[in-house]
Amino acid sequence: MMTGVIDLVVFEVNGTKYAVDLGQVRRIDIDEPTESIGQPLGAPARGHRALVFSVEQNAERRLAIDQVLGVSRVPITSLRKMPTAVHAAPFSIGAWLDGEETVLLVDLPSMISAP
Amino acid sequence: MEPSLLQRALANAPERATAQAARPDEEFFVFRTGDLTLGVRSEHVREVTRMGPLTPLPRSPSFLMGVVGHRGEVVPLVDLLRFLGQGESKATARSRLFISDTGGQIVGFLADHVIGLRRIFVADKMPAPAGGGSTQEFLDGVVQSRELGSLSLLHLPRIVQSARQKSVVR
Repeated sequence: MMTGVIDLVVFEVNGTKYAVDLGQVRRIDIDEPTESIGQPLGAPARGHRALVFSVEQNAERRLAIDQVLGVSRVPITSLRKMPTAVHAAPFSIGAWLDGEETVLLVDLPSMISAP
Repeated sequence: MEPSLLQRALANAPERATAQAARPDEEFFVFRTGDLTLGVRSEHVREVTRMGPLTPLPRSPSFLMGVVGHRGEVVPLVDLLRFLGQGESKATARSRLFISDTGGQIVGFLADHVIGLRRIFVADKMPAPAGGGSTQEFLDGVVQSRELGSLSLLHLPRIVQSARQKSVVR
């Protein structure tokens, strides 16, 4: 069994909390994002922030979000893969059980190919 | 002396209760959601619990309400009303979540009101009415009950399998 911790960037889109591996986030744009990969998590309420991440050949992409709630260091034992009974979108890779709350873990590069 | 009525009755009385003709029955977990009274085989219901915080899933079918964390597991939550095309469930303080296990597939369903376990005689089950549309394939039968009125018995494994297929093909 794996032990240890992982750093997650926790952010919000339209009132819903999500988390992404800190290692995927190159930086956070605090200006009005001029471009976004779309709205794979639904339309942001404000969209005043963007998560900037790398794709192939070191190119950058942006995901418009509402706000970054912080970086959380979480035990790996609190992470779960998505249940097999019902498939989610490919970029929904798992969940972080944060006490009573379940926070969806997303994979930013996988959002590029999301319809 | 003539034997008394009691003595005659005892003379013909059996020594032990005669076995009743077996009348097969099945146990169902019965609940209400929307205007429907529904039942699922109790063997498929693992637990009934209060509704915890719901996390919506992006890009998922409308009947998939999201996921909930339950006893260290992430459980998908299906809205039966939406799935059956009968409206939309709304979680209230009285709502309960029942966790089903069909062949190892763990799925949660929302119930407005839990009625409890009821034994249904197999002979009382009527086939699903023809012309029931797409919901017919998910019905195990219908029972008219004095207590519950019209009770629709759902085939939960078929529902879970169909929900899974519908959410894969997008």
